Amino acid sequence: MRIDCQWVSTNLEAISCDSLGAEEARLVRDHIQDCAHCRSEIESLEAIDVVIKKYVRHQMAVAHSPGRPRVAWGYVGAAAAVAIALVMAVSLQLQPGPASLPPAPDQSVTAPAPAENPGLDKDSESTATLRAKPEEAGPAAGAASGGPAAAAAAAAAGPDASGAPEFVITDPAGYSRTLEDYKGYVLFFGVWQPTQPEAIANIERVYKTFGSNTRLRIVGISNQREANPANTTFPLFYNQGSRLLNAVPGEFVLLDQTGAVRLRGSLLTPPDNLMKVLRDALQPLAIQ
Amino acid sequence: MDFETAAGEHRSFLMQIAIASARNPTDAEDIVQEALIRGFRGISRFRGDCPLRIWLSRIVVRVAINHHKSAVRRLKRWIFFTDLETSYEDGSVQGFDPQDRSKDFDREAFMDVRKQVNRLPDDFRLPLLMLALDGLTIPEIAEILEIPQGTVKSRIFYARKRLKETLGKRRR
Ligand SMILES: [Zn+2]
Repeated sequence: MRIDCQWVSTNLEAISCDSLGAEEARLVRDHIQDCAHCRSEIESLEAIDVVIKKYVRHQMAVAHSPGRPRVAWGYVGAAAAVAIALVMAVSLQLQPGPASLPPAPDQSVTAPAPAENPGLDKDSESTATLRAKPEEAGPAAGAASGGPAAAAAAAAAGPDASGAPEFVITDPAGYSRTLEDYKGYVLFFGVWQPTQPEAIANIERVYKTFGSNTRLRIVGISNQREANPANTTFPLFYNQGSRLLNAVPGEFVLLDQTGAVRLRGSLLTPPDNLMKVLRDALQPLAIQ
Repeated sequence: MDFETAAGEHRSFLMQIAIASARNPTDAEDIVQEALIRGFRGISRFRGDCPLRIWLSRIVVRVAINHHKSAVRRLKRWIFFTDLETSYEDGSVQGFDPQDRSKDFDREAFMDVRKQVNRLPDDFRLPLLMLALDGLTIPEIAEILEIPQGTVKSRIFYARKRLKETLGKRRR
């Protein structure tokens, strides 16, 4: 068998993937040693790896850069608050129930461009994706009127396209609340079910510790209508099939006065950890 | 071992997978967070037929791909309590040299590399970038991406070839 430049060129993949037989591999090595052309062909492919290694190292530096906030409350900025407001505006319009709709926030606000890497063309790409697949936005698309901001909000509101509202809970007397009702307050909600005594105890603990603060609302939400579990006093609500910001039983969510999510986490966790994390999250919200 | 401990242990590995999978490195943290939430909720489906870090890596890859597609910024952050020990309280990140590496690249060349890398289809981009991670081997990449090792190699080859063409063209 004769190995020439033509053979090397057509078998470059096999050479590069080490999938040649021993004999072939030896012949290729011999050829490459004498042939500057093939050598440079192969070396220039390998050189790509050097570039990629540098590139990945750079990406790591960016991802780990100290300027990037590592904790929840530093992270949700004004843009995010706007986005959440838009999301809620859309989801509120979808609710079957309420007689009077709250006024929607100013929808002329521009898309919440992430404050990062202005150079990357990803946002335009993403918008294109959204436009190309309007069905993914589900029923929310009809509620939102045009523009990339509305489209993004619609997509955010309906990842499961189920049409379920974002957040509607009902108290034992039958009055329902939406997130709009908690605007201006910090809201802690914990989702529990009767099989989660740790979650129940943690909600109660949070209520006992912070419940006297009038700017904070603490609620425990179950997916079925339940009575207060033994030895608990926290305000009880049940969920009418809303998505609860994607929290599942055993999880909590903390929202600030604007309705922006500040923290999420598990209620099935040692109480000391939970209370510490909560304290740290509440402090910047001026709640002790 | 409970999930939080395990997640904390694999966190820096998962960050690397997220950085290789994300088109924008600043998304990597959010991607890992979301993958950990999903892992936490889906742990009952983990059968132990591969190492946990591989199983979690698969979730990271899926989240990273969807993260880019969905255009929805992650506005919510989860705190796993083990995070507090590893990154919050001491303020450092293990196993990583934080000095600015951006000087390794001149800006224009870098933008070009980023653009061309991001133009590669995910199937080709991911194996190529994963191979550039320290210590990730072809067999591991194959496991994470759930494709045969030969396919990994061949995709890396085509990704290199493609970049050689597109980057070469622009070089002055
Ligand atoms: Zn030759």
